[in-house]
Amino acid sequence: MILRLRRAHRRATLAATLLAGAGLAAAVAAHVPDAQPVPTPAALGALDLPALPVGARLLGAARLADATARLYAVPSGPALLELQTAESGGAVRGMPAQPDVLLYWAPGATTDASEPLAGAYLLGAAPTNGAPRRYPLPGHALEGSGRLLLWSLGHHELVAVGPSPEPGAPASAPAPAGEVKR
Amino acid sequence: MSVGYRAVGWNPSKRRYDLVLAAGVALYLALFALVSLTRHPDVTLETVLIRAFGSGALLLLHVILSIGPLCRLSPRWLPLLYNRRHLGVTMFLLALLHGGFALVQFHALGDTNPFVSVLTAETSWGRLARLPFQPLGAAALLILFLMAATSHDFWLANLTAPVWKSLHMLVYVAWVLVLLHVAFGALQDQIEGPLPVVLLAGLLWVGCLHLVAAQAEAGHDRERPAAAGEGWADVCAVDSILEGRARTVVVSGERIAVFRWDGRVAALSNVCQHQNGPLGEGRIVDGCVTCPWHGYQYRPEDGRSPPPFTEAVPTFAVRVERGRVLVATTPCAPGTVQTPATVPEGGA
Repeated sequence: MILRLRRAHRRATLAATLLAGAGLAAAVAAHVPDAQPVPTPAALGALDLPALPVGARLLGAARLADATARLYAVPSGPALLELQTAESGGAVRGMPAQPDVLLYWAPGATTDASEPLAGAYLLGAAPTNGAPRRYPLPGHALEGSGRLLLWSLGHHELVAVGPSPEPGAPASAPAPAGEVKR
Repeated sequence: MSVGYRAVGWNPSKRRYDLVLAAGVALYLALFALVSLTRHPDVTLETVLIRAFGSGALLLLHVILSIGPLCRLSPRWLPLLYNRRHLGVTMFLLALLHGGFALVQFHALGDTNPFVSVLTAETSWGRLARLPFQPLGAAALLILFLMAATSHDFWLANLTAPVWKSLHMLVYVAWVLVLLHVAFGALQDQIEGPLPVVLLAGLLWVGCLHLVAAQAEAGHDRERPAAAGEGWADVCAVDSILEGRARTVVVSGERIAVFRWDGRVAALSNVCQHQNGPLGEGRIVDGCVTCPWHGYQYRPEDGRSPPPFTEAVPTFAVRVERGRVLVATTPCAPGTVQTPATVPEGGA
């Protein structure tokens, strides 16, 4: 009996080692590197700029649902994105103020429905009280077209998506509003 | 030896063992928290606790898996084996705390039942890079719970040693699940840190240690004693058995412990009824064969535990002829009296 048990033990150990080794190798091989580093909470706090820096120059504007997104160039520092809702008390049209909605910038114009945040750069929490909120953009944000995404952390779904403002788009005539997802 | 249910049969050795264990776990958790908070001052306390409990459980699981083969390779590790079940229960508690804190941190604030959320929040089963890792951890925790809940002589006696052993062999399934849980979870965020190396080192350590121990055991099992007439096997020279100790031999595919003491020789099954410990690596204490793992005792003449205990192991008829020990190839029923052979004056 004991020899049978010992044989079973050896086989179980061998199978477990091989299976775990294969799984570990697969996990390392399948790893997808983050396109952008995720900011820490401290860095997110630093993004909450109370006012535009001196010398900031408006480059363009766009609509994201019923919010207005403005793009600013700053003399010494990264470009700034300012997002302001139309009314106080609401972040996005048709939705109550939610504290869990995050704003992302992503390169390109289209969104992969299965991976809406693929390659996206977290800018910070979306404004909830009508006051404008400003976010530094990654360096390559001005090099091509991009899009803005509002993502509900609590519901794990896209709330709204729209084009990122591009240099030259006048603030007085903002681009068509983005799509409200729900 | 247990004859009824007692939560823990404390003795000074167990107290020392548990004290060292508790101190070791506390020291590890404190060091982990200190290093984490020093290297990542922004990390929250909940996150530190989740990581500390999880990594502590993983480390302890590797220690537990190493004890068995280490003891097969050298008896100096036997003190670790003595209370291995306490290590197992402690490891389960650490894993439970890891899972509990993660459940509250990541699942308790949604509108879905947290336990359902653990199993349904991730749905990318078809994509390796996003393989849901939390259900893997939950499955491992369930196995560890079953093992911890039955880590007691009460369950060992009621389930019988073979069933209990088979149940506890699920630790290897839990080990694989835990490694996959970490590989598709924490590792995906820390691929450039030391974690991949640590996981690989743990895997190789446990795998190679078992392989080396299995090789040593298999070599011993391949030894074949010479036949000595119908139904008898010539297993060894009587002088090759030390006084008060045994030689373990393989007859008819099973291990037999041949003991020599006070000028007599007797043969018993090598398998302790408690946890299948190797009786042949024990010694004669107070006239009884004493298992090296947990001290279970059997009389060499009939294989029975001294009263009030009721365990019994199979015995074998034995003869000593011309300085050689001959053992019957067929075992007698557990507890059958077999008169020990007498060693002639002057040994062989």
